[in-house]
Amino acid sequence: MQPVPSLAVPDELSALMLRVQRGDRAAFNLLVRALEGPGLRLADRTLRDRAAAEDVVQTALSRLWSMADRFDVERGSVAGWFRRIIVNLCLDGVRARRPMLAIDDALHLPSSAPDPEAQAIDTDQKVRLMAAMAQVAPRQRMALAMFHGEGLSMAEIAEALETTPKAIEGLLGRARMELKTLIMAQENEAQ
Amino acid sequence: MTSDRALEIIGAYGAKPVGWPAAERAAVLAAAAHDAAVGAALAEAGELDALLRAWAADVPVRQFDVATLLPARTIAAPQHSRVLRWASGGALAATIAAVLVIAAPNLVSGVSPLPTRIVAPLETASTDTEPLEGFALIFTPTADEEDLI
Repeated sequence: MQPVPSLAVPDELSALMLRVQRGDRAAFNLLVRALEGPGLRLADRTLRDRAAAEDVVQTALSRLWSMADRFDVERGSVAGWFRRIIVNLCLDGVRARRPMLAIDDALHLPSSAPDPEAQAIDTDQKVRLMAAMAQVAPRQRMALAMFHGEGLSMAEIAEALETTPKAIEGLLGRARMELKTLIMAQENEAQ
Repeated sequence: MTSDRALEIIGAYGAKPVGWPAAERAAVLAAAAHDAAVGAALAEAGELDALLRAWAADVPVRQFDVATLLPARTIAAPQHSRVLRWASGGALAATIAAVLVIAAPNLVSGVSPLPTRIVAPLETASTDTEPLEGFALIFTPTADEEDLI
């Protein structure tokens, strides 16, 4: 698995954002390259819809430029600000769209595992996880993506979801417990 | 540390000690070494961690076209101090007042009160008054209109 770059490099990115505030397009280009990947992973894992996730990231990146004057480096990092934009857009999207099918969209997933048997097991696990993910709340998926994907701290996740680190600890605990239960139920059904 | 708290931490943060709260890390590791239930939870959590890391990272990368991300924006005006803003507003008001006094003194000194006219209320249509009569009270036809009538 390739290492996942983290959003948590506030000093460098915030310095770029200060240049963006002055209309520096080269700085904006660098900022986009730094934030698009983490933003896309968060939106995609939350929404479970690639096209919708791309729309969210496009809008969020665009706001970095159009609302640049609202960024205040003393109130937090640009990465945190960007995450909050993504989170809010995702939650808006979740509210706006109709419920999606839980399992049907997770049936055909590619795997890079070379051994056919390992590949079958790997794909099987992914399918079960994806199906289970469809059952947990979007905020839980967000917290899981930020913690396990971006390696963010409880405080950073709490800032993005506008709650407390203790609440995030509970959110993650419940999410993992639900996932385990759902995966086990699928395994029992398969046997 | 209680077993419940150790299980709670592993349940929320997973199996990697680096992710646990620093103040509780050593105690959780000690609990895992001495408590079979905590040890089992730690081993089990590692499997889910691996799945979740793969899930979180398994998103195709895409580069966005920066040119399309650049909508028009209004660059905020430089932020002056509040005192300067008040002062500039006051100066503008004073300038306008001075121009009015010099250019149109009558407007300031020779202002006579507007003639007041007491307007008697129109007679309201009563039950014994035809609507056309009320209309005639306020409509005076011109000569051309008279011809038409």
